[in-house]
Amino acid sequence: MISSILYRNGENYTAFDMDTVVADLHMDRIVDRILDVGKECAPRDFFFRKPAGPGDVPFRLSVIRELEDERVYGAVQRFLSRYNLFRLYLDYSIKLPQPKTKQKWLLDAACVYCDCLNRLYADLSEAPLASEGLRRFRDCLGLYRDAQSFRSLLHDSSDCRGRLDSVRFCIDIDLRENTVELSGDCGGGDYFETLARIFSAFGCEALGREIIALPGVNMGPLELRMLGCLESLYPDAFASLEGFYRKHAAFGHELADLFEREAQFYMAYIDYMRLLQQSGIRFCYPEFTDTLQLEITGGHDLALIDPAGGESGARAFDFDSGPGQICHVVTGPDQSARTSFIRMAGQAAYLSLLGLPVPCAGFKSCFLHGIHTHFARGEDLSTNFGRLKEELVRAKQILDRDGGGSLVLFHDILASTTSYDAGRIGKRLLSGLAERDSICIFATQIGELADTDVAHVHRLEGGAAGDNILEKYGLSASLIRERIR
Amino acid sequence: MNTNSLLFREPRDWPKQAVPNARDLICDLNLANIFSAMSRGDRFLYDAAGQLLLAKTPATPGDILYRQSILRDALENREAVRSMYRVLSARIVQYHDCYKKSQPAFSSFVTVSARIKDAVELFRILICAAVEINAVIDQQGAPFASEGMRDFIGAFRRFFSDAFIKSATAEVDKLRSTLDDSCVTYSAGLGLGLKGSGYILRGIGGKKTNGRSSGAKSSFALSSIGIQAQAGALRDAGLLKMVYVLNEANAKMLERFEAARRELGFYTGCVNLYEELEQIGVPTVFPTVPEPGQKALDFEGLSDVSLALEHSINPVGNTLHAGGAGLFVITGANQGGKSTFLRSLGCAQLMMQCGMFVAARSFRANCCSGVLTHFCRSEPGKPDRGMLEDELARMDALIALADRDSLVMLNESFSSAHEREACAIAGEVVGALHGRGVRTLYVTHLYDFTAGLAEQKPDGVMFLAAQRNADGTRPYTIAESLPERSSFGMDIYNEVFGE
Repeated sequence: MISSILYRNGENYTAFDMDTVVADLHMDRIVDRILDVGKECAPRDFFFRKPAGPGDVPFRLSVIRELEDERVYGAVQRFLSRYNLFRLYLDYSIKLPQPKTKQKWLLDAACVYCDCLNRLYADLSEAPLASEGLRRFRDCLGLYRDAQSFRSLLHDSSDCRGRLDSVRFCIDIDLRENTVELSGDCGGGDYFETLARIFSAFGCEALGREIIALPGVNMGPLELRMLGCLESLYPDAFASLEGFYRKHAAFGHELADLFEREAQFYMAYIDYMRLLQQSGIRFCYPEFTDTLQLEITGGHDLALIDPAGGESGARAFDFDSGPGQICHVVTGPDQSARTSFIRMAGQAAYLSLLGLPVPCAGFKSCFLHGIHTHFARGEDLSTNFGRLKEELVRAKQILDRDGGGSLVLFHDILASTTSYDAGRIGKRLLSGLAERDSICIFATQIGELADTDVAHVHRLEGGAAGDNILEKYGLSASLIRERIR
Repeated sequence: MNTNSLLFREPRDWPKQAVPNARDLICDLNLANIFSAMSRGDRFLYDAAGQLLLAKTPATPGDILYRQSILRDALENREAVRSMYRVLSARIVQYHDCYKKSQPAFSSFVTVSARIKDAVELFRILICAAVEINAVIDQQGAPFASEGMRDFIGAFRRFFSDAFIKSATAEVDKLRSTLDDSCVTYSAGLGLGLKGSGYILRGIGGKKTNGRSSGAKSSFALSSIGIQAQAGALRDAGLLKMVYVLNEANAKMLERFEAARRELGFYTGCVNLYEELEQIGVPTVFPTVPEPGQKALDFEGLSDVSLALEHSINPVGNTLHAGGAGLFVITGANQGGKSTFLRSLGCAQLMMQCGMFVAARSFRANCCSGVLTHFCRSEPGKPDRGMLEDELARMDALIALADRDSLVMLNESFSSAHEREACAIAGEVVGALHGRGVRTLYVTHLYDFTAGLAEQKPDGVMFLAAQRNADGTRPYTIAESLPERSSFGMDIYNEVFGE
């Protein structure tokens, strides 16, 4: 029994090109940061796969919108951290050598497993779920819980655990005589109570400390000997453990496994969003239209934002393709953040295609068929081509591949020729794209390209600092008045 | 543990954090002389004086009165205060020495029983300190008069009661003597993966001391080295908790003692300084703080403590009744005592705010949120900066710390710029400070600036000048007077060139 919260009708995706789109937009680094922030280790691949099934994007958006709700978030978060524990215990039960230990770790794993599925189901049943994905999963989980296999696992594990938990025994260690003696619980007081009375005025916290003896999961020789003694002192409890193991050694958990992986994808992104929101970055849910357009307000380049960096002064950009405006040239002086601008647009489109909220105040676009990027890079010596030729070969590949309805991003290419030539070539490229009905953004320093009627031109402003020395040190009368409150 | 503070009415921690401009203050106000006089060679007292005079969080007016009353008390009972400080110092030093010796050398292994023995040793040192302090308190003939000192002594005596000392010592001695028996009894249950869990230590020492049901038993000999090692580790786990308990008790007692040492150290330092000033003949007085809402800066015979200590002389004091004036423009004769005047006021302000007496016949001033100094330096703080840039960068840092309640002292600021530019800068900066109501003292030779300001006769500005006798000698006093074009540098020139 399986129910995905990533794909509406079964797994169906096309991968983004790692060498161009992912690398140019710095999505690989951004994903690393997302996974750094998210406590659970989400599957990295999910961030590089564009879902291709019909309705997958809105399906995902409604899931993540629901997961952002504090109650649902908390429920899934609890589930993920408990499920992690289940995996750990299960791993011990597989890897540790002693049969008795294996059996007990399996029992401990089963207890955690049953408990976290029950809690998850109870939590999800209390929440009024609206998203198709989460509702479908919850119903599926409900059926799984009602099935005989789960019910017997639940019953047997809690019964067996109860027997073993009630075992309490007494250990006498005598290192002069070199003996250890085990017996039923001896009762009697706690040695530390006398001390607690004397030191009560100190509020001594160490008195409440748990005694940690023989830590680690491995069993040493003394523990194995003691275990042998305990088996003979408590035969029923140990027989019950063996019975449990024989019956449930290979219980199935595929449904929860898939949910764990898919939920981690969303949760990691939510954690990342929240961290950025704290430093003032806004996120919004993308809005989709039927006509070819891309409209972004207050968009951020995530590559420049360090989630651990605290208050962020990162610059926000606006872009509006407008209706029918297919080609756009973005220019501006050095340091005017052309690169950030174009990355920002590409990242927003990319994330919207993954079915995730985007780092913008507003985002509206059609369902893009894909993203193509062509960013200037160092000459590739393996091709034997000159730089210009290499760039044009790649541009042609994009034109050939693009069937329209995509976002095409050109950045600082054609720099290795005269600006007159670059202007002419650039305009050709732009009109080629216009015919294919794809939105194209061309970030460039080439003046001739900006002087065109083929494309809509966006100019970015670069900031320059004032040179008054008092202003520089914040010491003009007005600045001082502002600084001293 | 119940803690009473000799520094704060509402117990707070010792102010560890210094004001960000501590280095500037030490240098500009010559504070090292004061610290030295307070410490009499005791490094600990030197540091304590520095930390308190330069504490980032200033004492409240209530705390100032609280400290003044304790300091008066300490001056009456000098020997008791000094004895308590000495006991604490000696025992704490002994404690740290013993602690250092108990720390294992690199890579050597210390058994848990050895760690318990060390902890017991440290515990005994602290108990000795408590016993000795109790003796000083009990021998003190005339009781302390101040509320703060009485609460402090009372709390100490109550906490380290004879009963506590007796029972704690007995328990620790018992533990020490049973350590070598090597027998422990636990009860436990089965935890995750069949590891033992929920250990309770039932007893140490005598075997099978606990009344036990005569149920089934199973025992075995520790036949191999591996099994013996684990048995030793299991025994030590319970004893380790004992180490933690003792270490924590030691740490908490030590913390209390160290706090007391610092606080008593501060008053010991004040007594030292008082005695030294008394010997030189410098008058001292406990300052008064005006009611909230009132502005005051009034003093008589205020002298620079640091100068007095350095030369063992009683310097000429200054008298000022400035009331609510906010900006003081100080001009006048070179070497006429302008910087000394700033320093005397800066020191007095810091001393007042940590509850000390000041070197004056009377002193009354508002508490400020911080003393901020900007004195000229011979070299830029960073080698790649020009002099003016360095001055401006330091002024930028000063403004970053300033608020309306700061006390700002500018000594020849902006003199590294051309006179015209300097006047313009001074106008902006000093004008804005005054405009924001920040109490500012500005020593300057910028005549165009000062004369211009004097002409406008703005509110709340007081013009002071270093005086000069008719024969060119200096009386080293500051008095109210309008700026003059000359600061009589020719006097100095003549003196140097003998013309």
